[in-house]
Amino acid sequence: MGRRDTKTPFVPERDAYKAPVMECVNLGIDFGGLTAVNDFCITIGPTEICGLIGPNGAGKTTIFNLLTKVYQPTRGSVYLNGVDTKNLNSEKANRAGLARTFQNIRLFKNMTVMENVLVGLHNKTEYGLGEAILRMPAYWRAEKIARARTLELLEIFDMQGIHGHKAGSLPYGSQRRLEIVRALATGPTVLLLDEPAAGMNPAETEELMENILKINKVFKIAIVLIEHDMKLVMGICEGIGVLNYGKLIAKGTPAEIQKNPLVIEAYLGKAEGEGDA
Amino acid sequence: MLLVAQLINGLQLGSIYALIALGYSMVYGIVKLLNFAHGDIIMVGGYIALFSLTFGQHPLLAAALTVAGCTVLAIVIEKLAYTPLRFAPRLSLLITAIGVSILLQNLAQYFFSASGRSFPGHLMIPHGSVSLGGVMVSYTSVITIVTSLVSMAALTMLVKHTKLGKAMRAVSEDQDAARLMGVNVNSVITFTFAVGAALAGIGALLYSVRFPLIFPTVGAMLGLKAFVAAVFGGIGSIPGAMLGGYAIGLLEVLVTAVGLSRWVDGVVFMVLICVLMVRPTGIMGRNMMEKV
Repeated sequence: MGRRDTKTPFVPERDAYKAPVMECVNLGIDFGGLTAVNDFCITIGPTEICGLIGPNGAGKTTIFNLLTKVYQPTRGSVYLNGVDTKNLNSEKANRAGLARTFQNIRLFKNMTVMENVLVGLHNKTEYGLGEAILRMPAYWRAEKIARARTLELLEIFDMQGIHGHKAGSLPYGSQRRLEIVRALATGPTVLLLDEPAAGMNPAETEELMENILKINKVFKIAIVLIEHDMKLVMGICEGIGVLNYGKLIAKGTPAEIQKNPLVIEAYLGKAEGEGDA
Repeated sequence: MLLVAQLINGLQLGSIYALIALGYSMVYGIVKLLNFAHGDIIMVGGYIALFSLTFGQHPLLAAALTVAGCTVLAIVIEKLAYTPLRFAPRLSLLITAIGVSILLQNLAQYFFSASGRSFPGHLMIPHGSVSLGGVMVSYTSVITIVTSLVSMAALTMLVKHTKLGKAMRAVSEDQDAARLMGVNVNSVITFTFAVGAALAGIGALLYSVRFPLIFPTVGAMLGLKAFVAAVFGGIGSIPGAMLGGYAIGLLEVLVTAVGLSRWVDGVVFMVLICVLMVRPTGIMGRNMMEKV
C-alpha cells in the first residue's frame, strides 16, 4: 500500500499525528473521463482545524462528498479513527464520526429549528417504537434529554430563543449556524464545514471564527473547512491544503501557504495583501 | 334530522377514505411514488378479515390479523418490488406499482375466484344503533368514526413527537441530507410503508363492514377514490389527506342524497379535475416551485 510514504501531515511536529483521526491516502475520483480529484492525501489530528482552499471548481466539495460517501472514490482510501471507510455508506460514515454542512444550505426547511437538531440527535435518542406508542416513561425521559441537549447545542450560537421557528424562515446566516449545530448533534469526531461564512458580513464572520474555535475546544473534535474568506482561513486554521484542478498543490501552515509561489500563482495572486493574518 | 343523518353517513365514509388516503400521501411524501397497489392491499385485508371471521375467530383477533397481514404484505412488496428501484426513474417505480396491483388482483382471482363473497359484518360490529340527540346512529358509524379519529390522532402523535416521525419528515424533505445526519433512510421508508398499510388494514375492516361484499377488484375503485382524496387535500400532506378523505366522503353522500347516486364516481373525478386545474398542489399541498 505504501501508506507510510504518502503520510505527509500539515504540521509534522504536532503530537496529534501519533493517532490521526482521519487520513486520506491517494484519494481520487473520475466522473466519466474527467478526473475531478486525484492523489489527495491528508492527515488530520484529533483536535486540528484544517482549511481546504482553492479556486472554484478545484474539487473541494467533491472531496467532502468523497469523505462522507456521497460519492464512492475511484481510487485510494479514507481512514477514520484508523478504520478503512471503504464499505461504509453515508449514514454509517456519519455514525463513524463524520458530520458535515452544505455549501448550498440543506436544512429541513419545513421543520422547526429544534426538530432539525433533533434529527441530528436521531441516533443518540434511545427508545423503542413500542415505548413511543405506549408513551412509556423511557420515551418521555429520552425525549426530554434530547430536547435539553438540543437547547444546549443551540446555545453555542445563542439560538435557543428561536427553537420554535421554522428553519426555512431564518435569515441566511442563522441557517448556516443551524446547519453546524445539526451536524454537531450527530456527535462527530470530524466536522466538515462547507463554506460556513458564505453570505455573512465581516462582523458575523468574526463571530463565526470565535464559535468555530469554541466548538473545537469544547467538543475536542477536528474541523475541516472549505472557505473562500482568507481572513477566516488564515485566522483559525492550523493547517491549510490548497487544491487546484483536483490536485493538492500545497499544504502547510498559514504562513507557509502565503509564501508558496505555486499558491500565489494559482489562487492568492489575485488577492494580494489580503492574507496577512 | 335527515341532514344530520346524512352528515354522519358522510363522515363515516370520509373516515374510511381518509385512512386510506393517508397511506397514499405518506408514501408519496417520502419516496414520490403513487403506490397504486395500496388499494389492493385493502382487498387482501378484506379477505383476511373475511376468512378469520368465517373460521370463527374473535372480532378483535380478526382485526389484529388483518392489520398485521396488510402491514407484512406492504413490507414484502416494498422490499421485493420497490427497494431495488430506489435510484431508478420515478416512472419505473410507478409502472411497477401498477404491476403489483394487477398481480395482487389476479392472485386473488386465482385463489378466491372472481365472484364476490359476502362479508359477515355483523360478526365484526353487531347490528344496532344508538340515539344521539334524537338521531339514530348505527354502531358501525360510531365505531368507524371513532376508530379512524383515534388512528389519525395516534399517527399525528407519531409523526410530530417521536424521533421516527421526525426522521420520516426529514427523509421526505431531503433524503440525502437525512442520510448524512445518520438517519437510516431505508428503514424509515419501510416503516412509512408499514404505517400506511396498517392504516389501510383498519380501513379495510371498516369498509368491509359498511359494504359487505369482497371481490378481487374491490380495492381498485376504493383505492382510486382515496387517491383522489389525497390529491384533493394535497398529496404528501398528512392533514391534507385527512381533510381530503372527509371532503370526498361528504361529497359522495351529498350527491347520493340529492338523488344523483349514479353520478357519484363522475362527480368525484370531476372534482379532482377541477382541483388540479385551479390548485395543482391540492388544498394543503406544499409549494412545488423549486422542483420545476
